[in-house]
Amino acid sequence: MATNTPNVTIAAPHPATVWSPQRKFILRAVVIYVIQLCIPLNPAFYQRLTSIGSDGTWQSVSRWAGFHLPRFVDVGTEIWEWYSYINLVVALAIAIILAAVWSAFDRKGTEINIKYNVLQYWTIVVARYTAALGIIAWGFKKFVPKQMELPSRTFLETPFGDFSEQKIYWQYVGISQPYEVFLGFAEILIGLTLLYRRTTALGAFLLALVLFNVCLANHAYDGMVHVGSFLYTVAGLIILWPYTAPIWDVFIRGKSVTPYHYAPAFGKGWVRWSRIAIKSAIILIFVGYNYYLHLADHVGYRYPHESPGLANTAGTYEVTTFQLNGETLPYSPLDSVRWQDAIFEDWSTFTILLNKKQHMDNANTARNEMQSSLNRRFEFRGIGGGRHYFDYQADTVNQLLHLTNKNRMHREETFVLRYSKPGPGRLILEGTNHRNDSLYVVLDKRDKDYALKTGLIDWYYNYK
Amino acid sequence: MSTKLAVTRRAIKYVTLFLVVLSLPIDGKFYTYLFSGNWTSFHITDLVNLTGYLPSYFGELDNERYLGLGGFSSWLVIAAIAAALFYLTDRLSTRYAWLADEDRLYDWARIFLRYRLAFLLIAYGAIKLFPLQFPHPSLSNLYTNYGDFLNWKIWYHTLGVTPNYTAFLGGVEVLAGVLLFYRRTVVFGAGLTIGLITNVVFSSFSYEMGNQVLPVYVFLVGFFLFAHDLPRLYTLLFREQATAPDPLGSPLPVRWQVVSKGLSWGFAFVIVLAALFNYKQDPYLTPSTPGLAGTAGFYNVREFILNNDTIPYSRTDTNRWQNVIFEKWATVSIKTAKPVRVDSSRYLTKRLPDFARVYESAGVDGRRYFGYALDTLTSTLQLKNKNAHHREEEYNLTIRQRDGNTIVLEGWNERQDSIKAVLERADRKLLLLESRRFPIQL
Repeated sequence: MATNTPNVTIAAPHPATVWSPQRKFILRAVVIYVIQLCIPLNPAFYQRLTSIGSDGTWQSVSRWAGFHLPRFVDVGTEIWEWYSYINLVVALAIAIILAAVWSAFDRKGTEINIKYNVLQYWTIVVARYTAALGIIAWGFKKFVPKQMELPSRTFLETPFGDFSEQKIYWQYVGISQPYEVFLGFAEILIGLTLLYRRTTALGAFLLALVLFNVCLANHAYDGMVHVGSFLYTVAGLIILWPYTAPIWDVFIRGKSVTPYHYAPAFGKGWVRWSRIAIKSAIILIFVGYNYYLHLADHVGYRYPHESPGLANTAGTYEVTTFQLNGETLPYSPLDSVRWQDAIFEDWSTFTILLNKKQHMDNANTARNEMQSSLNRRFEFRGIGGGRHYFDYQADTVNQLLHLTNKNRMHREETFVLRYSKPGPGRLILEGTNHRNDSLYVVLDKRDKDYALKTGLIDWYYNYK
Repeated sequence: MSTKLAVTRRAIKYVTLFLVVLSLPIDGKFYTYLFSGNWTSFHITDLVNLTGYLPSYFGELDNERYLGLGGFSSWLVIAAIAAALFYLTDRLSTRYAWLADEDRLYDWARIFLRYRLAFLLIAYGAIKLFPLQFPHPSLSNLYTNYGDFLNWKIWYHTLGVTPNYTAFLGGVEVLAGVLLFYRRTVVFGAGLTIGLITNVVFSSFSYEMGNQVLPVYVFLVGFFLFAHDLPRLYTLLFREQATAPDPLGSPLPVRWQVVSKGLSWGFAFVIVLAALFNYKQDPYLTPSTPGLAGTAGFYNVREFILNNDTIPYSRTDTNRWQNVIFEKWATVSIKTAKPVRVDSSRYLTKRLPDFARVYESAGVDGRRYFGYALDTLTSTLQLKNKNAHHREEEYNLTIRQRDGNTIVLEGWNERQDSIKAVLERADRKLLLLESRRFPIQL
C-alpha cells in the first residue's frame, strides 16, 4: 500500500532548543544559583551604590565589582577548611530545592521552546558581567602593581622559614613586578573577553582554568581567597555550559555541528542605543575610570607609604653599643633585651631583632588595611623569628621618636628616644622604654648587596 | 588556490620544518651524552634529559653565562637548516614528486611532535608528582634571609614548600601529555599545555631561571599542535557557524597506532614509577649519605676559640662562627660574617655524587656549606666547602656529642689554624614548620 507522503523536509529542531525535564531542572537551578551569587540581596548595597567612585579611590569602584556570596552562615574572616565553602553549598541546596518546586508545577515534559534559551541567555549575561567586572578589578591591582609589593627592608633580613606560606606566596610575586603585571594583564584580558559575546567561550574556559589554579594555590599557601576564586571557577563553568555540547560533538564525537546560541536582536532604535549606552558606561567606569584611579594611586597599600619615615635614615643597622640603665650589654644571640640589629623602613616603621618570644599575629585578612600606620599590620603578620615591629611618630624639632609596638598583644611596649647623627651612617638613640629603663644605643648603617635581584628593588631604594 | 592561502601553506611548511629540526638530536653533544652513560644503571634523570633534549651549538647549557636571549643562539642554526631543507625539498620536488606533498610532511610532523611533547610533559610532570624537581628547602635554606637568595631559588622554594600543590601541577602536566596520545584529544592536551607553559615562560624570564629555552620550545610546539584546530574553534565559537570535524586521517597504519599507544602508556608508567622509586630511594637533588645520627638541627655557637683566642659572640667578626646547622644528610652549614661569593649555577637534572649535589648551596648567600665525611673510629669529620668559589675551605674536626644538645668540634682548618667550637642546640622554631592556625609564640 502506497501512501502519498508530501515530499517536504521538516527541519529537525536544533538540540539546543529542545528542553527535556532534566535540562529545564538544571536551567532553573542555575538561574536561582546565579541570582544568589550575582545579585546583592542586601538593600544597603543599593543605598551605597549611589556613592560609586565618589571618594575618588579605586576601592570605591572595585568594591562594586564581583560576586556577592550570601552569608547564610557566618564563617568568620579566618577560614581555611572545607567548611568555608558552606555558603556556596547552602546556596546550591536552595537552588536545587526551588528548582524542584518550580519543576513540579511544570507538566509539559520535553518542549521545543525558545523561551528557555532566552532565560539561559540572560542568566549567563548576569554571570558573565559579574565575573568579568570582578576579575578586571582583581587584575588591576596587579596590572598597576600594589597587591604584591616589593619586599620591605626587614623582609629581606628575615629567614625564609620564619614566614607563613601566605607571605611566601605573596612575596614571590612581589619580587618580580614585571611578572605581577603579566598576571594582572592576563586577568584583565580574561575579563575583557567575557564582555564580548563572541569571545565568551574563550574567556569562560580561561577563567575556569586560571581561577581553579588560583583557588588551589590559595589552599596550598593559606592565601584565604580560595572561596572567592572558586566562585569564578563555577561562573566560568556555567558560562561555558552552552558551548560544551558543540565542542564535544565536533572534537570528541567527530560530528558536524551548526551551533545555535540565542541572542536577542538589539537591531533598532532606542533598544540598540540604550544597550550601547549601558555597555559603554559599564566599560568606562569599571575599566577606563578604574584604571585611571589605579594609576592615580599607584603606591601599594600593604605598607604605610603615606606615613614617611625619618628623612635620610632608612636602612639596616648593626647595634654597635647597647647600654641598659648605664650597663653595657655585649651582643648575644640569646639575650632577650639586647638588640641584635635595627632597621628603619622608608615609612614610619622601626624593627629590631632580639631573642624574645611574642604572641604571633598570624591573620592575613586584607580587611581594614587602609588604617593608620600603627594598625597597618601586613608587614609583620605571619612572620616569626624574634623580629619586633614598632610604629613611630617623629618629633623633628626636639629630635624625638615615640615608638609603639605594632603587635596588638604587645602595645604596652613603647620607647621615647632622642636621636642624633654624629657622623655618616651613625645614629645614636637615647631615652627610656615603657618600664622606665634608660637606653643608650649606637647604630651603624650596614651596606649590603643582596643576592636577590633586584633591578627594581635597587632602583626603588636608591633613587626613589 | 588564492595567494593568501598559498603564502599560509608556505609558512606552515617552514614552521613545520623548523620545529621538526629543532626536535631532532642533531648535534654531537647528544651522542657523546648517549654513549658516555652507564646504561646498566639507568637513572630517572637520563630519561628526563632525553625527553627535554634540544640541540645546542654554543654552550647554552652553561646557563650561568646565558641568562637572557643568548640561550636561543642555536635556534639561528636550526632556522638556517630548516631554510635549507625548505629550499631543497622545493627544488627536488620536480624530480621526486613525493617531496611536493606538503600535507604528508605536516601529518608526519604532527605525529612526531605530538609524541615528542607528550613524553617531555609526562617526564617533567613525573618529577613534580613526587617532589624531585622542587624539593622542600633544606634546614640551612630555611634559616637564610629572604634577601640572600637568587630569584630563581625563591621561585623554587616557593613551590618546594607546598608539595601537594606542586604535585597537582605535575598531574596536570601528565594529563596534558596523555591527552596528546589521542588525535581526538590533542586540542585539549595542547590547550592545557599552552595554559601551563605561558606562565612558566614568563616566570623563567622574570626569575632568571637559567633555562628559558625549553619552556619557549614547549610553548611553540604546543601552539603548533593547537593551531591545527584553530580554524574549527574560530568557526564554532567565534563565528558560531556550521563546523565540520577534523577528518583525523593518519598516515600510520592501524597496527602501528596500537603499538605506539601501548608504548606511550608504557613510557608514562615507567617514568612515573621511576620518579616514585627515585623519590623513595635517593632524590637526585639531595645528598644521599645520611648525616651523623642525632645531630640534625640548628645550633648556636656558645664558645668559639681560634688559635687559643676566645672570640665572643659577634655579627661582624669574619672568623667567628655565629651558628651551625647539621642537615639530615651529610652536610653542615656555618654562618660567619665573611662574605660568600654565591654559587650561581642553576639546578642540575643529573645523577651526581653527593658532593656535587649543590642544589642546597647554589643560588644562596649567607651561609657556608660543607659536605662532610665521618671517620667513625676517630670521630673525625672532614669538611669541604661545596661552593666552587670556596673549594679551598676545609676543616678537620673531631666531634664529641654530649646529651644530644651539645656538640664540641675541635681541630684545624685548611690554614692549620686550630679551632674549637661548642655548639648548643637552639630553642628556635620556624613558623613555616609550625601551624599558624592556632595561637603561637615565636
